[in-house]
Amino acid sequence: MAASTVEPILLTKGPGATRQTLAEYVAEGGYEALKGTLAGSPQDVLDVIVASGLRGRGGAGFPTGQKWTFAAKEPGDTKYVVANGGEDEPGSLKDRVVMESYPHKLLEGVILAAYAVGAGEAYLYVNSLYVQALAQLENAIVEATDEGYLGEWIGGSAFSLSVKVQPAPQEYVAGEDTAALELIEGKKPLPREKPPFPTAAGLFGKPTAVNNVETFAYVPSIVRRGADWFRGQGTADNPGTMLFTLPANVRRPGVVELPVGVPLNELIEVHGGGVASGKAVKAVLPGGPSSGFLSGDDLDIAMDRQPLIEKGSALGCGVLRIVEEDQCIVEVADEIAQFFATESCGQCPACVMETSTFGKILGAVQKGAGNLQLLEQIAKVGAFARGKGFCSLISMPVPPLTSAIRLFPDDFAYHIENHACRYQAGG
Amino acid sequence: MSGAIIFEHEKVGFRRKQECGQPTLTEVGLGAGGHMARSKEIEKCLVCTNVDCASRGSPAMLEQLKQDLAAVGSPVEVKSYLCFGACQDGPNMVLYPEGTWYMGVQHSDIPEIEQHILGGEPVARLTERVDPSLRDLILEILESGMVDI
Repeated sequence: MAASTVEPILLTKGPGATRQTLAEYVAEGGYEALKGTLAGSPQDVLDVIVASGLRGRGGAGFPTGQKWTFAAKEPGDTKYVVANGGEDEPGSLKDRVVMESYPHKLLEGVILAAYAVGAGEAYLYVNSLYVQALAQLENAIVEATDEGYLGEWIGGSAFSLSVKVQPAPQEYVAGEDTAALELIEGKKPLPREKPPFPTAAGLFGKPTAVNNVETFAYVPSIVRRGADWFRGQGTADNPGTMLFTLPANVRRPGVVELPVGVPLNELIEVHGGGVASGKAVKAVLPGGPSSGFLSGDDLDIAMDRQPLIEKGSALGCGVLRIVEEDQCIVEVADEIAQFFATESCGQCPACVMETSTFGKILGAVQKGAGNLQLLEQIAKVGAFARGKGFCSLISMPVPPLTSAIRLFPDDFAYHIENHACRYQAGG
Repeated sequence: MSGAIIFEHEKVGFRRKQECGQPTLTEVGLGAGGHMARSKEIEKCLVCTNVDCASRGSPAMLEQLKQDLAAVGSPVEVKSYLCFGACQDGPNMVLYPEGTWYMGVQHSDIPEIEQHILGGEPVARLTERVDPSLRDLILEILESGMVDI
């Protein structure tokens, strides 16, 4: 299987590289975009980001230029930019790589975003487990300030910006954009009811552009090299490259940068080196625990939003989980159900009911109890709960659980009928 | 990944009804032998003890119901339930399979609920706010086997 051609935009030092220094970043064109931008207008930045087709890389895939345009058009002089590096998606490491190894790419992206939307303050919201990332970003802020890329009257222009680092708690909902805003405001990190969306009323009630860390890191290259250059990789609907996190059960786990739309089997076999045990792939969660399972027969699918949606799955933030041929899908589904039951913050009654019900049902089936009729309730409960939560967590458990039951009914039936797991000794 | 966020709910203390001067089942004439025929239609009294309902005292209500119904020899099983999806209106209780859903139950309501369980009339004022579509869903889940797991 041939490898797709890729021109790295983020991981330009190659795999396993150490931190990119400021000098190295400048040598590859770093901060040129900022210098060029200050000679133009904020609208120029908005125009090129809109034209690039860049979509948010945090999971939702919303067009970045559109989001920034909303914030820019809001009235008022006080606006904010927040880079979300909470990264609580299980298994995902890609934001960590950006923050630890390419802190100036993130920082320049944040500065350009602030210029585009008219923000004077920005926050880097960083998972508090990422001690190295916190230190690298603090250091990058000092370096950028010393060089005149940050602070007052940047480059002699009227544009001023201060950037602060905010450690983020390791809770799943704390990675939700409005929960991040709550924490920065000194409150509990709980999602807000929307609308209003952050672009209209975000941090301290002011217009705020909140984007994922990876999303910001593409921005300097897009501004410097243009929208058409960025569109030279990826797909028409979702241009550019994307970071994928390969799981521990491939031969070469870790974070890789590939064009959006790379076939899933290429990702696993070529870039991941294949399943380390040599066993066949039974199923894949292509976009984290909230994406639907793909069967091992569907591995030629393009890793892009639309093809995955059409298969009942999602691109998410590109973190893969591979289930091998001798693993029981009930065990994985139960793990997912328990995860969401635990991580539901408890604000929204329908979410509490839904996630706790799923946890109870899957827990029972995993132990060999329950029945098929009970499993059928999962889709009904999910349909009832849809749209009844402040955040998207309420809709997250449904695709993986319903797809697991649809694709692997025999695994569930065996648990229920034999009160045991077919993949375990004695099962 | 850490556990779920813990809320700092207000801790509400509930005293047993005897301590509040409320009448016991025997005192209201529903002691041993005081069941009515309808008690056969209620097999379980499911009490939500999830975060919100618990913060409003549902565990103490559950214990009260257990103790009182056992004292009069009622076969109705009083069980904790995970969540009925109406946290804002809790504490919530559902009588299964009969289908009555009590919402916003106060500890002082327990004697009347016990009268219903033992054959009396439902406590109408505690059933008025129930969402029929949610009630139907919950009863379907229970009938599918949730009540037994």
